[in-house]
Amino acid sequence: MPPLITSRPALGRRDLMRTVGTAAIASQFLPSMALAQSAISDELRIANEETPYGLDPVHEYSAGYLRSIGVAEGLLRLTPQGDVDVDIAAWFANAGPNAWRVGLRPDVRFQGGKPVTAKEVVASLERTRALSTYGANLLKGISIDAEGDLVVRFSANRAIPALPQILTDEWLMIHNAESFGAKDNSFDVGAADYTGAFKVATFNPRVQVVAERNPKYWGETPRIARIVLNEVSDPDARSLAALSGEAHIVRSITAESSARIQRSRTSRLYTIPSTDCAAAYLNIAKEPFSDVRVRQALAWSLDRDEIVNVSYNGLARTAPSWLGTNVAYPEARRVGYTRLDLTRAARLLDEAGWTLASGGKVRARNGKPLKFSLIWWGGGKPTAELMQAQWAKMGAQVEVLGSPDYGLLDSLRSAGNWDVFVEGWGTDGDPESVLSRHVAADGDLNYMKYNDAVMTDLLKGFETLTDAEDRRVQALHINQRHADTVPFIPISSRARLNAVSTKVHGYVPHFQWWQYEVHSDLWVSS
Amino acid sequence: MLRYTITRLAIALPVLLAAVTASFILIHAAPSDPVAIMFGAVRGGSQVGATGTQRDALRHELGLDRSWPEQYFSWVARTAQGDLGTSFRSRRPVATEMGNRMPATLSLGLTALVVQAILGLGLGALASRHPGGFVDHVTNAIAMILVSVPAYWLGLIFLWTFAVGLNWVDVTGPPDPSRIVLPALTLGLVMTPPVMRVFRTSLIEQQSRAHVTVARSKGLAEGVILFRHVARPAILPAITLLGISMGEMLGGAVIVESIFSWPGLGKYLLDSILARDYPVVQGYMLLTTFTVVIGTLVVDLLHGFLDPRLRTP
Repeated sequence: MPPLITSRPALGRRDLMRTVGTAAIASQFLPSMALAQSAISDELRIANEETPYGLDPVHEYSAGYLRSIGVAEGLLRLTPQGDVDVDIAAWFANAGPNAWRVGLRPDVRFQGGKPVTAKEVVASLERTRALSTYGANLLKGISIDAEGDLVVRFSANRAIPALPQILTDEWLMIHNAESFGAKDNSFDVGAADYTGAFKVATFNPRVQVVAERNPKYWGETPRIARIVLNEVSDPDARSLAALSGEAHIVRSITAESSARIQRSRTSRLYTIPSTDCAAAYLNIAKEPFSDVRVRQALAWSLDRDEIVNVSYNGLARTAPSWLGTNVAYPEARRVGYTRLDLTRAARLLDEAGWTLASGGKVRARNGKPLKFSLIWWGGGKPTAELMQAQWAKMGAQVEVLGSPDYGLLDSLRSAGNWDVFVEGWGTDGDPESVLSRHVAADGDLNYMKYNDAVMTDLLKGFETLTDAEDRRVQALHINQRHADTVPFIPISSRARLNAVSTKVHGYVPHFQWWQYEVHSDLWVSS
Repeated sequence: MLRYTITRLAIALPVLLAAVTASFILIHAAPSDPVAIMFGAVRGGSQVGATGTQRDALRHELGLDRSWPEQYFSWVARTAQGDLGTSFRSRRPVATEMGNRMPATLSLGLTALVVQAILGLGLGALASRHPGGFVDHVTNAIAMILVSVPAYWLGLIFLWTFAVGLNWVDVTGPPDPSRIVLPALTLGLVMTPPVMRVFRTSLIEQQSRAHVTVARSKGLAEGVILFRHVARPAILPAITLLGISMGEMLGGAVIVESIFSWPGLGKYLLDSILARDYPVVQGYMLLTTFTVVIGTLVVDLLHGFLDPRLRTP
């Protein structure tokens, strides 16, 4: 892959003429422009469901929040279109199947003033590896070395084609390791030394973070001078914060509140293109789910459009296949369970021996009814009840149980005491890492103990693929195999809704909530 | 009185122990564990998870691989020395975490208590003036409405009206005096009816007592009769209720604190229960029980002060 460099193009003659002409016209309006300039607010207020527990990136509950408000940065980042791009790195290049080199920008400094050299980057990443479980797993088997002042080399004993995606992860923010120290140091504002456009000024764990403009920022100086991130855990209170105009950006608006925001004159509703996939996980170790025909029948008999309309007010996307909600895989929307097909579902169940007696409502096989439980957690009750009604139409008797508390599901699952449960996970990132968690025989999210020889071979195929496009195509093959064997039934994305004040300009929604909502071009009119 | 106080304090110790033992058993009996929740779908990233070995290592670090009795006695021994342990989530001492949030809860609780006392006693006195009359019916209706209205709903209505409609208050922000009015009003209002009804009934009952008739026949001023001979004994049951409210304010403020983003102990407790942050939940139960025990003792001592009959052995 050729090096990627982010740079500004030089001005040509046409650009110059345009600039002069604009300036001439603008001079007529200088007084009003001055007024407009003074009407820019220097504070951006954000309300979120949670705020960080700590300021140290190795703390479990800090990383993403700090990145989302422009305090922290990584070597690389993901664009809203899902492409890997540079961040504090200037370029990155493949140095063979087992190695990558990343070049740093020469002008990047930590907020305290210290230059960010290759040695500092190595120290930062090694500290994360040592102190963070996620960091350790992301960097497992990867050696990190400084080559001079501005180049970092990543190498391993195996191919690491997904390293660029790994380096975009929220856990691998570049921080001043010396400032933070050898242990988790989450509550010392003075130690929180990052590279971002904003520096933490005050911090109240799980209440508020205030960040102020970093005068030593290497990039374009942001127009906003101050960011206030407040925790508002109640979803109704969050929507009121948006409607009152008190918060300029409010994250995690519920589908129930979305209509009020849409009618508001002070806020706009953004439907963030989520790459999550909520799915119904099936216990394939036991009847009736051990039969693939039953699994396929259940998948064909779900009306995903109805689920999206009822549960998410139409603000989510259906998932005909596992990767069908991920913008990086547009082909995946044409694969799998693209429509409701009760006729096919009925045929499959008949073939599997689950038949309806004359006048009966529940299918049975050898006298045993088609009956199972469906567990929900969090806010999944409406979806579960809808699925119960839809599956009842094709002769399944479903008992819905659950709790907003995650612990109940986890406990039942650990004991093997479950039939179906609904859960959602992201699908963005390196496809090998993400997909194998669910469908590799030893995947940590393979609750179903799914073990398919064809799938295993497909996952092994990643080992020899170094090109990003080849890996994407391999992921699509896995997606197809998943649709054929359906160990879990994809349903939809989850609605991610943000309310943004009409006073905010330059807002760009991103499918990863912790990627830069705040950037240099964002500003707020007062 | 001193012997009485010492006796009450001595009884408080086994009560405290029983309460914290019960809370230990209940929180540990809840399904799942903190490590599973930490790495589960609630928070887990999509590219990597935690291996079984890593989860077990964390369980060992947090002491969760020990038996219940071992964990319990270890916690009791540490607590007796003033160490409430370390929060699993924040990795900070529980005492520090609770100490940081205590001022917000105390300020909210005490303000709500004042609201409850003023409204409860005031409306109760008003209603007792003419039992069965128009004012009595109106105050009764107010009590019915307040006891039926959930705090959650009332709080949102207040926010909608005063934050969104009138823009007089903020929905979020630090726990400063400008933001305490609505949450205190919400909490105080929903807890007013019992005080109001008890005080009203008690006042009416006292008015028909013989000593009041004697005082009237002696020609004492009505104000003196009402204050010294009626209100003073009538207020005792209401004070008992207010004392119990002190303990309830700590627990009942969970919902109000969540709606108003008030960074107090209630919201912290809710988050900790969902995360199975055992040291925090146990520490909170200890604190709440202690508050109720001390609150009840204070009320009893006040009773003794207000009613001389209770002082004689």
